[in-house]
Amino acid sequence: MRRSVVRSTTFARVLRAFGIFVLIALGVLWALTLLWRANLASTEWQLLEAEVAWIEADITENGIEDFLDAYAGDERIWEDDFLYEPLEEGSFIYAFRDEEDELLAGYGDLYPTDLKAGAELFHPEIDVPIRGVKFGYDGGYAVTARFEPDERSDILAFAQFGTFALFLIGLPLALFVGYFLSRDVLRRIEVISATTAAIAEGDMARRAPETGQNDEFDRLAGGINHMLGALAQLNANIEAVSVGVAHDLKTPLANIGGRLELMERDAGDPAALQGHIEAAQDYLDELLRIFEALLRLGEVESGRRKAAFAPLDLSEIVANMGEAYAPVFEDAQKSLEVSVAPGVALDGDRELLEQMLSNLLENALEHSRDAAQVQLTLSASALTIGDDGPGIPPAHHSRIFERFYRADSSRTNPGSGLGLALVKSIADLHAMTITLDTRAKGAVFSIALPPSQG
Amino acid sequence: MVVEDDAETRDYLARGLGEAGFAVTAFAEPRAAMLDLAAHSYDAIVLDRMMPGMDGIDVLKLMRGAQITTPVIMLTARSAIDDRVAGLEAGADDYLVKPFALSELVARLKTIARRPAMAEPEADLTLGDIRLDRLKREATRAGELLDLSPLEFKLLEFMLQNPGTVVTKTMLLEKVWGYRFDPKTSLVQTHMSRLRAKVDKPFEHEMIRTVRGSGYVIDAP
Repeated sequence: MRRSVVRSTTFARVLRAFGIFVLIALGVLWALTLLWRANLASTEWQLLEAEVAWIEADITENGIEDFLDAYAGDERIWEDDFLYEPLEEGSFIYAFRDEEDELLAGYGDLYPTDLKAGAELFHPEIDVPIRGVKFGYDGGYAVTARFEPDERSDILAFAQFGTFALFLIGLPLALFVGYFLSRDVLRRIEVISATTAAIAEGDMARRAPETGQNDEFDRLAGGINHMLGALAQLNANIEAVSVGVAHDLKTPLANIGGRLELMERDAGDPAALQGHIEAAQDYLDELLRIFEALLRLGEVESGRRKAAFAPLDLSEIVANMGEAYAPVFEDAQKSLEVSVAPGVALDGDRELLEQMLSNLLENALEHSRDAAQVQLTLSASALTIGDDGPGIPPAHHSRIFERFYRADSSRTNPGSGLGLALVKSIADLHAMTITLDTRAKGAVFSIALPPSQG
Repeated sequence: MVVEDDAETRDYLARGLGEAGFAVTAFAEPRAAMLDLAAHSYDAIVLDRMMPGMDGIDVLKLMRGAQITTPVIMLTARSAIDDRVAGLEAGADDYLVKPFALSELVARLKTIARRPAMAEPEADLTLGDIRLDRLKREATRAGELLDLSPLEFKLLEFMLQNPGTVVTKTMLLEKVWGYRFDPKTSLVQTHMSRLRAKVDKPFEHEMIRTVRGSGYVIDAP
C-alpha cells in the first residue's frame, strides 16, 4: 500500500502544489525583504546627506579649525572604545584629515576606502558594516559614516530564516499531508478497482459500494453500477434473443428437413414432389423473413440510418399506407378507418417509417377480433392505431415490444415476434415514444411524435 | 452477361437464366467482362456488387464512363439503403438484394432489357382493347370506362408498361407503392384481385394472369 500511495496521482499533486506554494512564498518573502531594505537604504542616504550638508556649510563659513573647536572639543582623536556610543545610539562617526592625510579629528581607522557597500571598520570587536560619504573642504577632506542599523540585518536574517523554515517544516508537512490524503483517496479507488477486477473475472453480480456521501467517488461508483445494470439488462436481452432465434429458426428448419425426407420417399411421384418442394420453399421464405427482420433490427438499432434522414411529409405517408391497406382489411371482413391531419412533417427515413406503419397495421389486422374496426389516426402530435377489440391482457403489456415475445404463447399465429420490436426500434430512432394505451378499451398503440424541429 | 465471382451463384444464374430463354455469357472477373464489352454488345448485364479486387460500383462507373449504356442489374448481399442509392446513382437500372428468387431476376431482366433506358413516357398505353390515358388518368376497356382507384390505376399502368412479361410481387411493391419491405399480408394480391375484378371479370377474355410462385403477367387476349 505504501508504495502505491507514494506513486499515486494525489500524492504527486500534493507535492507539486506544495512546490508551487513554496516558490510563491519565497518570491513574496524576498521581494518584500529587498524592497524594505532598499527603502531603509534610501533613508540612510538622506540622513547622511543632510549631516554632510550642514557640516560642509559650517566649514565653508567658519573654517575647519573653528568647526572642530566648536564641535569636537578637546578629545579630537577617538579611541576604539568611543565607537560603542555611535554604534548604540546610531549617531555618526567622522574622520577629518588635512591635505597630508594627517588625522585632524575623529576615528583614525575610518578611511574613504571603507565606504564601499558592506565594508567594516578595522576594529577588533565591532563587525557591523558602515555606510558613509567622503567630502572635501578647504585644507583637507572628511569622511562621515554611520553603522548600518540593526533592522537591516534583522530583515535579512528573517528572510533567511523564513526560507529555511519553509523547507524544513513545509516539506515534511507536505509529505505527511500528501501521504494521508493519497491514502484516503486511494482506499476508495481501490474498492472500485477491486469491483471492476472481480467483474472482469466473471463475478457479474458484484457492484461498487456507495458510501452515501454523494461525492465524486459515489458518483463514479454509481455510474459504474448503472453501466453494469444496463449491461446486465442487455445481456439478458441478448440471451432471450438467442433463445428466441434458436427456437424460431428450429421450427422451419425441422420442417424443411421433414420435407426433404418426404421427397426422398416420394421420389417417384412428381405431383407429391412438387407439393413438398413448394412447402419447403415456404419454410425457407419464413426463415429468410426472420433473418431479414433481424438484420433490419440490427441496422435500425445501430443508428446508421440516421445519417440518411430527410424531411418527410408524414401525412402523405400515413394516408398512402391507409389507402393501401384498407382493401386488405375489407377482405378480412374488418374495417380500417383512416384520419390524417394534413401537413405533418418530420425528419426521418421514409422506408423505415413505412415499415413501422405496415407492421402496426398488420399487427392490428392479425390480432383484432373478427369484424373489428381499426382506426389509424395522425394528429399534429401523435400517431395512434387501435382496434375496438378486447385489448391486450395486462400481463403482456410490459413485454410486447421485446423481441420474439408473443402474447399468443401457443405460437400458432404467423409472425416472428419481431414486428413490434422493429416498430419500437424505428420509433426510438426517430425520437418518437411508443406506448400501449392501457386506458383505451381495445389494443391502442400511441406514438408521440418528436417535437417539431426548428 | 453475368458478372459474378462466386462460382456456385454464377453457375446457378447462368443455368437459370439460360432456361428462362436468355443467352448467357458469364464472367468471374470484372476485367475480362469489361474487355468483352468492348467487342460485343449485350441486352443486359447482371453485375455482382461485391467482388474481390473491384467494387461492382466502380465497374459500373467505368462502363458508364466508356459510354456503355447496356442496362445493369446490381446484385448485393447487403440491403443498406445507402448501398442501393450508390448503385442507382452510379447508373444501375435496378438493384436486387440476395437472396432472391430466380424468377424475380428473370422478371426484372425482361423489363429492363425490353425498353431502352431513358425511354420517353408515352401519353397513352394500349394493349388489346385496354386503353390507358395517362394525362386524364383514365382507363377504358372496349370503350368502357373502368372505375379504378388511384392505386389500381398505377398498378394497371405498370402492368401495361411491361406487357407479356412476368412482374413479381416485390417489383410491384417497389414500383407502384414505393415500398422496400416485404409485407406479411397479401397487400399486392388484394389490390391485384380488385383490379382484375374490374378489368377482367366483366369481359370475355382475361388479360391478367397469375403465374404461380412468380407474379402476374398481362397479355393481349
